[in-house]
Amino acid sequence: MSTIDMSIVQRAKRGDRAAFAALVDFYYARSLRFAVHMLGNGQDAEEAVQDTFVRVHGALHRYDEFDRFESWLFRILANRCRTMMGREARRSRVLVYGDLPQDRGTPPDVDAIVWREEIQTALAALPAAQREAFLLRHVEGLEYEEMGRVTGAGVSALKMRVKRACEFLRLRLAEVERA
Amino acid sequence: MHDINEHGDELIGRIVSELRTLPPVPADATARVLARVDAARESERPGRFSRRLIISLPAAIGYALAATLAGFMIRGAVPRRPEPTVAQVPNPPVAESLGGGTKIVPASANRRALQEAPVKVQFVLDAPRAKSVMVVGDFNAWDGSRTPLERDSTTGVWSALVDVHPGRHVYAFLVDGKTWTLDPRAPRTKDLDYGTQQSVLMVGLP
Repeated sequence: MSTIDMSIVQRAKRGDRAAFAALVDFYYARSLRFAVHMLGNGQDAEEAVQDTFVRVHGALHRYDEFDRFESWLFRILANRCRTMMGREARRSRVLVYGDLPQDRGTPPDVDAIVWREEIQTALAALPAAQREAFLLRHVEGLEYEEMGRVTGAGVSALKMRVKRACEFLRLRLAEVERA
Repeated sequence: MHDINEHGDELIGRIVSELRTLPPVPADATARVLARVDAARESERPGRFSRRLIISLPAAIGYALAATLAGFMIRGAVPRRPEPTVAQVPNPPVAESLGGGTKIVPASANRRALQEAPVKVQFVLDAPRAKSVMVVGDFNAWDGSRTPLERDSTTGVWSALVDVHPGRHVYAFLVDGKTWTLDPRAPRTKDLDYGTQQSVLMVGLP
C-alpha cells in the first residue's frame, strides 16, 4: 500500500493549497472505498469522504507528525462513517445523473456482479465494529497498533473482531459458492 | 502489505481481492472539497467584517458586495446532488425573463411551445440479474420495444434518458420482456381500465 510523501503533508499543514489538493487526490479513492464498504451506499460514502477532507483541512494544524498520517486520516473517516451510520439508513442504490460510467460497450459479467453483490450483502450483515476492523486490517492494510489509534479499541479486541468477521464471511460466502 | 491469510484461506483472499478494487472517483471530487474549505473559511470571517464596518461605512458596503459575490460564486461551484429519484431533469432549460417575474423557460420559447416542449427524464432501475429492461408508459404508447434501458456493467443498474412532455404520466418497467415491474421509488396508481398497478411520474413545466 503506497503512502504519501510526508513533505506534501507538511506543506499542506503550512497552508499550501496545492499540497492539500494533492493530498486529497492521493487518498480520495481509498477513503471512498472504505466509506462505501462501511456504509453500503455510494452517496452517503461520498458525503462522508467530502466531510472528512474538510475536517482534515480544519484540523491539519493539530496533526502530530509522530502519528502516521494515514492512521490519523482514517480515524476521522471512521468517525464520520459511524456518525452517518447513526442516521436513518438510506439504502437507495440508484445512480444519479452524471455518475453513469462511460464504458457501456463491455459485456456484463453476470457471475462477477453476483459475486460482488454477495460480498457486499455479507459485509453489510456484519456488526459495524467487525466490518470496520476487517476493512482496516485486510483491505486498507493497517497494522493492529494503527487500527487501535483509528478505532480507540485495544489490539486484542481488534484481533478478535477481525477473526470473527473472517469466520462469518467464510461461512456466508462458502454457502454462496456451493449454491 | 501483510499476509491476508492471517485468518483465512483462499476464499478470504478472494473476498479481500474484490474489496480492494478502488471505486471510480468523481472528476470534481477534489474541487468540491476545496470549494467547501473555502466556504468554511468565508463563514469564519464575521469579526473582520464588523471592524471594517465601524471604521468606514463605504468600505464595509464594498466588502459586503464582494462577500455576497464570493458567496454566490462558492455556491455555484459546489454541485448540489439531487436526492436519488427515478425521474431527473439533467438539462434544465435556460432562464429568461418573462413579463413580471423571472421564470424558467426554454430560450426563445413562447408559452405554448413551453407546454409542448419535451423534457429529458432519466429512468433508472436497479436490476443486476435482468437480461433486458424496457420502460413502457403513456409517453411511448406502452410499446415494449421502443425504449430499452442500458445496463451499467459495473453496477448492474439500468438507465435510459427519455423525452417526456410536461404533465402527469404513468409507466412501468418490463424486465426480461415479461415481468411487469413497478418503480420502487415512485408513487403508484391503479389503471382504471385494466386494474394493473402503474408508477406515476410528474414532469413539471420548467
